Amino acid sequence: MRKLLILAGLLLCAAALAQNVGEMRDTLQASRVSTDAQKREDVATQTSLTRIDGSAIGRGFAFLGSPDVIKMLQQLPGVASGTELMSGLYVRGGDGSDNLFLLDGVPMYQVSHLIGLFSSFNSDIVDNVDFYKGGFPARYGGRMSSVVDVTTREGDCEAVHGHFGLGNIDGRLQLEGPIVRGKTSFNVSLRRTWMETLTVPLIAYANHTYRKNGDDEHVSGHYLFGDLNAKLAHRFSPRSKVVLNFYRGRDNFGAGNSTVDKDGSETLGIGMIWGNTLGSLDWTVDFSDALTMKITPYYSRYKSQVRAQMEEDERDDDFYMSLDERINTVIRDGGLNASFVWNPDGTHTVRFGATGQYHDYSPGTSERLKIAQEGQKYENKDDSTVPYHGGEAAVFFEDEIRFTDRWRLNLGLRDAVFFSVGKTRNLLEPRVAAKFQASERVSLRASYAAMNQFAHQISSLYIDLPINAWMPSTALIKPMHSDQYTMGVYAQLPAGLEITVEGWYKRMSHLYEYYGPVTLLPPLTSWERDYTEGRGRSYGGEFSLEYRTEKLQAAAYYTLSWSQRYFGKIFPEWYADRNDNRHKLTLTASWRPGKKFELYGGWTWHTGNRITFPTSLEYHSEWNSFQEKEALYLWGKLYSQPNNVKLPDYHRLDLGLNFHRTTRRGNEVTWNLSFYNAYCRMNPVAASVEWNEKKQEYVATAYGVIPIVPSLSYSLKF
Amino acid sequence: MRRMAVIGAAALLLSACEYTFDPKLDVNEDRMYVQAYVTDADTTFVRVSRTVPLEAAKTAGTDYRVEEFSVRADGAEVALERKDDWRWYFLGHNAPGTTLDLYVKAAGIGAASARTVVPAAPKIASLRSEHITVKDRELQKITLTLAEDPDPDACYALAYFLKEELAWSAVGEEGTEDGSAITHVTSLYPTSLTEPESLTGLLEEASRTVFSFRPTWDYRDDAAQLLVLDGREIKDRTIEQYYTWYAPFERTYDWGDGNSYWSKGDYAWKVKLYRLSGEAYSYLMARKNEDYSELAMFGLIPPGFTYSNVTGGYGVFASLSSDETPWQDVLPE
Repeated sequence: MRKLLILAGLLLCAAALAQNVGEMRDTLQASRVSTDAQKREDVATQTSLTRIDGSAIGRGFAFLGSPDVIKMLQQLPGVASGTELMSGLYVRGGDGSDNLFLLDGVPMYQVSHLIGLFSSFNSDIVDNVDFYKGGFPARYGGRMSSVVDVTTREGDCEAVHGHFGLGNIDGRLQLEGPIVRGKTSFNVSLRRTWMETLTVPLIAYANHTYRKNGDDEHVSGHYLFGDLNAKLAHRFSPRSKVVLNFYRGRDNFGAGNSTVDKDGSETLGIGMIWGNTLGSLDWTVDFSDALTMKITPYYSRYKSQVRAQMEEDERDDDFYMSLDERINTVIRDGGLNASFVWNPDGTHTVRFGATGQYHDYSPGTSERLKIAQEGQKYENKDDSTVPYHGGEAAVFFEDEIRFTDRWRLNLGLRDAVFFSVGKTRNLLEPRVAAKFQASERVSLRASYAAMNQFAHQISSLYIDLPINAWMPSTALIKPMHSDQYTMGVYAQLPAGLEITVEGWYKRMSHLYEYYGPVTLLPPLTSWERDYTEGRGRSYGGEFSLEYRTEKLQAAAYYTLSWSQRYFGKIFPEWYADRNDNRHKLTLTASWRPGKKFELYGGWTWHTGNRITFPTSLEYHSEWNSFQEKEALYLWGKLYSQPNNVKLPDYHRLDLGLNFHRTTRRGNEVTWNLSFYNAYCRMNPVAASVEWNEKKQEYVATAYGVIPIVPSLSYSLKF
Repeated sequence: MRRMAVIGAAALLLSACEYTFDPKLDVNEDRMYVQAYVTDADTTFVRVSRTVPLEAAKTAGTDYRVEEFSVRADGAEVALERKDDWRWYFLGHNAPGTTLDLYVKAAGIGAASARTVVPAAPKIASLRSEHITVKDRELQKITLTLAEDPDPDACYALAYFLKEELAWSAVGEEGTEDGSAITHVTSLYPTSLTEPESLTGLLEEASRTVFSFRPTWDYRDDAAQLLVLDGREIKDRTIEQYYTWYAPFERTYDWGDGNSYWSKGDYAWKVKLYRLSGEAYSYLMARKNEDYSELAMFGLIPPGFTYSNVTGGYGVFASLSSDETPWQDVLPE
């Protein structure tokens, strides 16, 4: 037994990552175009791209039994994850709102469930994820720091099959198959929490106990999330296809308290709901082997709502009141994308097209009030919205030129026009990349990309809350801008080894930091006043080493980076960004010795996030009003420099085991046992500095709250 | 709801783990801490103290001796007088457009300097008030009109001071002392048209920024409450506010031992409209947000509360200009 444990420990501790990286590929392959694989054609000059196959996500580490796209991306070099367990994605010094999330080509504003524990991307239906950290192709725009382009899978045109899974928190069901064999297929995936099957009876039991004890109070609470992905694909011919995509996701949280006695009743309730609804129609046509067109109209709506409800019934006083108030954030986007890929000869691959979007941002409040007293009634209905409208249009052009077998150049240009609130802006975004094939296995690449972002997330706190509003650039708030230079060496070595060494420098301008009073819901009517403009810069290097065989996949990623901010109204010099993690190391391994089981592990280490600590004490007096004199002399804490303290280092080991079994009917059953934070390192999420009487000095204390999290899940493929 | 919140918080705290660490703060020097607001008052008080690095022992010396201290107005030195242990003061030199430079150095502590330019004063053209009743609430609607277009990039603030007459009789060591005074205290806070306890009302209140302002730096003095207004929010030179109407009052306290106190407030008010310099706004906002500095422990709030415009030291040297107008309540009919 002891030897077995030692062997297991050696295998798993030597290299450990939270997910299977077997399908991550770089882009050394030559370009190719086809209707089905149009999104996945490789651009030889592309830098900073990670491609993840959907099956790899499904086999990866499953936090609470659910594999997750964002958690997988957080492990990559150049990406900081921010607060533990949240779906933060801070790419090469950018902020969480700087990422363009696309689901089948449609932008999404909020991509998390359960305040970030899970993302909105259901791994059961994800076909492919293209993650760009730099070197952005000209067809992408609108965000500064990254592009997460998620494509869902079309249904199987030949046979019906599906997948059912049950994790710690949610259950999943996916079903696909032909409608017309060989021509029309469907793919539907549903995911929903099942926690309320436990929480509802527990709360009911608690209320029953209160009543038995003579307590009139009654509590209620619930949380659930769910999402539905649906895809319908039809092939008119081998060269023409139309695909209808639909997504709807929703989170619903509520809590309440009511009291009922002989005099009347009183009820209070609060709730939050948020979610996306997306729809798009892709029409792809291969006019010839050289020319492909794709047109996509789409519509998306993001809505979040905070509601407060109160009802009071006082029988003795003949008084009744009900109040229902809501704070709404609604973002509606309608758009049209048209893109073409043209290969006139073997030396040029030209991509060009246009996009247009209309944005409707509508934050607002509503109130419904009813009062009845002594036969008199009063009703009031108030609705107020602060609408902002804006439009974005862009044309792009990109030519991948093969000069020789060794030299390639990619010249791109995106011309973006944005209009909102009486202001029109026209911004050019050049995109340039070059590649030198040094040998059969080694290439050098470099790129430059300029990006602009016209949408700003309004939040006074560094939490990605679903109720955060988005606002467009205005006459006073300029579009955010980034320039990123990237250079790297890419090598495919024998025996399944791949090495990438990449460096970048990114500068950001027209960044906005919240500058107003600390409040959960910053005022939207005067939001421009509460933001101050500044700049940012980040630079560093990433090293990745990947090894793949049929049974073993392992990877090591290391990042050395700096990320800084300058906001003159906050601090007169450059200061460290809160996610300025100087070093990051990720080790992963996935081993499948046979058909029955596979092991995987992941170890992540990075230097701590940054917070603001007081640096000095100010000596001052306080007035003692009882004694009417300055009786106390105090040392008050003085904050003088932003983000001046680095929390202790973060490190974590995740382990997982998949056990596969084939049923008598030939279906595959998988049991997954995972341990998040396997050695229970309580990584700090907060810190404070207080006077210690015993030591007679100020002592800094860090607090960690996330322990080991085991999970067990079951899935069935049929 | 409360029970669930308590259970949730207890679960979180019980599962927390804490350990000490070295934050490696890189501040090793004592510095000067200076605070001063130049206002329309004849006297500008400059509060001066010193700091010690956090990681120094608490028993570090607290005394300091100012070696150099100067204030220059448009380049010309201004006469400084010492008020008490903590404060110096100078008179005048507060006209709009005046550039004031402060320099202070104490023995063994690095020099600190700061600059402020007194902003142009706003001008109130008129103030009109009317008594309205909204949903059984008695409110005052106040309309303030400016004489000039506001600067859209500037920050303004309103403060309302109630005229209060005081009289007292106090028994002291040397016998009974009688006194009287007239004061103006900030005594009026804006309200919303909807129920203030409602979510909409709470949101409206949350959207207002109110600074606590005490330019004398004497904690015995009441702080004025400044309601902040963005220059861009003032449309058509008009500021409209709603306030809960309070009936006039007269109070008498007699403790029966010779000590008594009488105060009376009627409908007489003084309204002041301030224009804040950029550093005044930033520093007052920083002090306001410092109340939430515990959230910085979690890295949750932006670092705006670290603001200071004092080079080589900490604190603020800022200026506010103002205009004022008397106002009389309109009685309900």
